Amino acid sequence: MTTHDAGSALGADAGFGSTPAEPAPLKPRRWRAWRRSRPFWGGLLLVLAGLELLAIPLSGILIHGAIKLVIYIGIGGVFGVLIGVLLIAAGIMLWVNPAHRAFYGIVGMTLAIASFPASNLGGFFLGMLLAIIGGALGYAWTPMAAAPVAAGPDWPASFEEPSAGLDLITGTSGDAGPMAHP
Amino acid sequence: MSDATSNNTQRAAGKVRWRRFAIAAVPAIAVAGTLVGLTAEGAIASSVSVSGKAFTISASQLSGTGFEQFGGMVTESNGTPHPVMVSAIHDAHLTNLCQSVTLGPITLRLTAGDAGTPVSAQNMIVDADSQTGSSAVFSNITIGQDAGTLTEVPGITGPAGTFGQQADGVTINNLSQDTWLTTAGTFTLPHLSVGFGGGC
Repeated sequence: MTTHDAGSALGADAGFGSTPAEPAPLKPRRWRAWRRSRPFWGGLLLVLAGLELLAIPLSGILIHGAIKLVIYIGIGGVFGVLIGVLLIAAGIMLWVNPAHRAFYGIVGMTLAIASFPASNLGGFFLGMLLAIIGGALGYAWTPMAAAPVAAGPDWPASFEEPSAGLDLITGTSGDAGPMAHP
Repeated sequence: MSDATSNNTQRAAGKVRWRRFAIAAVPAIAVAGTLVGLTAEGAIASSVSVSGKAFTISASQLSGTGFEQFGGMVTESNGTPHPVMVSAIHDAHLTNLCQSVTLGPITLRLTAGDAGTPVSAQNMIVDADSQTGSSAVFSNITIGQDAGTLTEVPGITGPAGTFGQQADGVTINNLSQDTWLTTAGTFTLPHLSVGFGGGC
């Protein structure tokens, strides 16, 4: 039994060692898994909408001094900046915290509608449309219930591990393990 | 959702349920469309603040009360300085307003105030590097006043010790200007229409 334990441990090591040997497929696969496990496109559209809403009034921050620009813009422009920042935050929160996707989706769509009177006609319609679509995508995203199926193959391996601990406790084969290793 | 079992990636994947998407998006677009409609009728004022070079404004007539003008300087992001003329109007009415904005590859063209009711703007400030008009009428104009002491637009003054001018009233015909920065506290845009392509 202990030989089998050592073998499985080696096998696990070999499994870990073999994956960096082919890094090319690993990274896209992880990126893909990250994307698919959350409302990625909804969040991305919200972030883009926020950036677009910010870009129209704030590209002049490079032209004017920041303080002068704020004096020029006044309270209306501050609302526009606020909406842009909140849209970016809602998009990022959709990625970080997909469990609350319905809330962030609705927040995104509400901000989109508010941006029309408050921020350059919703960034000349573009930002408003991006945010409505992004918010609705975030709201409509649903995780699949495929997790138990995927966990299935891992079960035998996890059953092996308690047996190793059991051997250590009983002490019957504590020395035999390293000796039996070829 | 019969295709839920087709996926066998280890992480919990997800998908967009399009009926749910429609439930969310359709009301939002309906509300947004109502807002657009009300704005196009001039019932709702909107806040406009644009900066950047590729922004042109033209109007067949601008008339306003409370006018200030002074010189200023803007610096491009690469450090090139440009002299500009800062015009501030407390209460402006613009007939046949046309604004064109270039957003990357797209040029958006926005027209309003061409069906009888002029566009009105409060506290409009324009930094223009070229400004032309076929004729201009100023009432009670003061030319050569220190730009730091201008009073016609509350809260807006130029750099102290520089040239400035102000007037009680202003009327400019066939206005056209290339601006670096335009902002207005509120813009009311009756008969608004937005299209792609083509400058003003």
